[in-house]
Amino acid sequence: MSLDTKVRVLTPENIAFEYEIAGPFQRLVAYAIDLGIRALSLFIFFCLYSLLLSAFNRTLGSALGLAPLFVAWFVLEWFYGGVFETFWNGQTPGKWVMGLRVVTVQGQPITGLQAVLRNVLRAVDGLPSVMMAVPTFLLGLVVSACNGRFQRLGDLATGTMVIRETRQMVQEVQPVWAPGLEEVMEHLHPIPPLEAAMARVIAAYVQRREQFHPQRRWEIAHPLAQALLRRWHREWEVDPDLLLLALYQRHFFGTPGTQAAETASSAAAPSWPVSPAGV
Amino acid sequence: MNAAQYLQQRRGAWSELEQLCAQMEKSPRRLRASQIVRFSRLYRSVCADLALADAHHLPPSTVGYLHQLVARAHNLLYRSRFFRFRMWLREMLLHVPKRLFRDPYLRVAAAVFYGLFLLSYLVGWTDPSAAQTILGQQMITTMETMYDQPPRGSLFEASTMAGFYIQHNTGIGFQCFAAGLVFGIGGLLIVGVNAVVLGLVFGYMNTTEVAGNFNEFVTAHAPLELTAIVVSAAAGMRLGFAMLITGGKTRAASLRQAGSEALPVMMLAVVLFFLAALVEGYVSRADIPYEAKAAVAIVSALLLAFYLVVIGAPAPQAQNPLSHHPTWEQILHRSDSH
Repeated sequence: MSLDTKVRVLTPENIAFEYEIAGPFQRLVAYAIDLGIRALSLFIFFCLYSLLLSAFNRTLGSALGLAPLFVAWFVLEWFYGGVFETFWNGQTPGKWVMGLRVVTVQGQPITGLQAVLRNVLRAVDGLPSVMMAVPTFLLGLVVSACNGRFQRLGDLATGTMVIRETRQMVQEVQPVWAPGLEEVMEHLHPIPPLEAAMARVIAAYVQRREQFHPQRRWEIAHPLAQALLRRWHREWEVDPDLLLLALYQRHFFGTPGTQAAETASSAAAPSWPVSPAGV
Repeated sequence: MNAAQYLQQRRGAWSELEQLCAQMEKSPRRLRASQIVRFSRLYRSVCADLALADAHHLPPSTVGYLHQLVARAHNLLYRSRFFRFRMWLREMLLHVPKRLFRDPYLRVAAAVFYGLFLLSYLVGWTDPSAAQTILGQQMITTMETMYDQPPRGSLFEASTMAGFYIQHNTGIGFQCFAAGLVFGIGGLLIVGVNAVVLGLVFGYMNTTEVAGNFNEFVTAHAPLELTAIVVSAAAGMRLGFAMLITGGKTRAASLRQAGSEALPVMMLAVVLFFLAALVEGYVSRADIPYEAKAAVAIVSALLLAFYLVVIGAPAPQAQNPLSHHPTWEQILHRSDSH
């Protein structure tokens, strides 16, 4: 199992794409936000209800008593999550803020039954409770640590999981340029094209190299360049960073980049990765 | 074709899909038919891009972008199925009683609840001092002062108390249900404790002078409320035992199936708790003769028996397929097809 908390989902189009699983502590923040919203809306309901009744209709107020408040409390306590996740496609306001969503373990949207059940069963994930009232969520934490998808008991009983939705901009494939790159690229001719996996590794390096100090670049690029040269049976005194840049440029563009491209790209996107906050 | 050229060619389609996604997230109903067709076409083409990412030598950053774009569009295309009222009505009126009729967990929960209730009733009735010791003097005093007057209350009190019972008792029911996940017996423990306390209180109160007031209060809502707590424990046991008795499935699959069976049963308990709360609020403390309150209890018990036994009993096998009486299932399905 890989260290990354990602799951593969097979769509009906027979395409596999990946979801990032949300960790317990992101979910705790979302839950805290929802808890705040619940408390706030109950308070607002209480104020509006008392205001409306005292201003307009005292008879109705004395007939209904505090019943509407208790019913609102009940509904918010047990059905808030279930109703939102049914009608907001697996999201509550807290999950929306945190960019989380509930989906089935197959990656499909959840049904109303799953939404309600997984929220009702939070009562047991909250155990043990302090003074029978304040949940500590220790059981849910232990259970979700015991499976690869961070599912608490409510998720296991409904076959759901919580995923992180990320929003990314389309990544430009930036041409690179460095002094001496053209010369290195000319010497690449006899070298066979890169395999896909190697190209991915080199792209990952090139797209991050600007964050590194030159010495660190050397530290990372040197062993890889040595291994590649051994594989090609070549003796070549070449800057390892420059070699990887050349391989990257040849693989993704075929032609040497220009100095203009380099200055443009470093001005436009000084740092990699362009990733959402919290990664 | 190298990656840069491929990206150049596809970028337009990707950003168009992104825009459609944003529009769909905001107001899905405002979309024109042509846009929806366009959306699904673009979605399929991006799926193809992702599948061929290696063949086109796309760098990891682009592949990451495609993963999130496909996931986003996928979630918009395959939406959660909304709450279907008719389906739930059929589930509650037909499948739940059938499930409960042959439900071993309901029998166990009922046996535990009523067994402990009767035992502690006898204890409280024959030995009031034992009840005082177990319940505590404070609770005894509270109970006695609470019932030293006949149960009456204004409309304001009745409504407020009905609301309180909805919030409080149904909450206990939900906790009983969820606690069932703890090896199946968590809910049973809560039910057992409640049965002992209730039995002791009932037994003890019947030895005091305020027995009349006490019985007048508890009669009307007892059948509904006691059934509701037993049903919620039974629904929770179904969940918990599904993890232990898997019937050849994996534990997760067994639990999932039990979940979809147990939730409608729990919803029945919610309905019963609501009805019980209304009766407890408006009938039990109303200024009407005791006979009327007893009649409410009898009618609600008969309705429960009808639901659990008449609807719940398995239909006898029809001898002649041409002339059999319609079962409940067929009646409901027929009304469904109109």
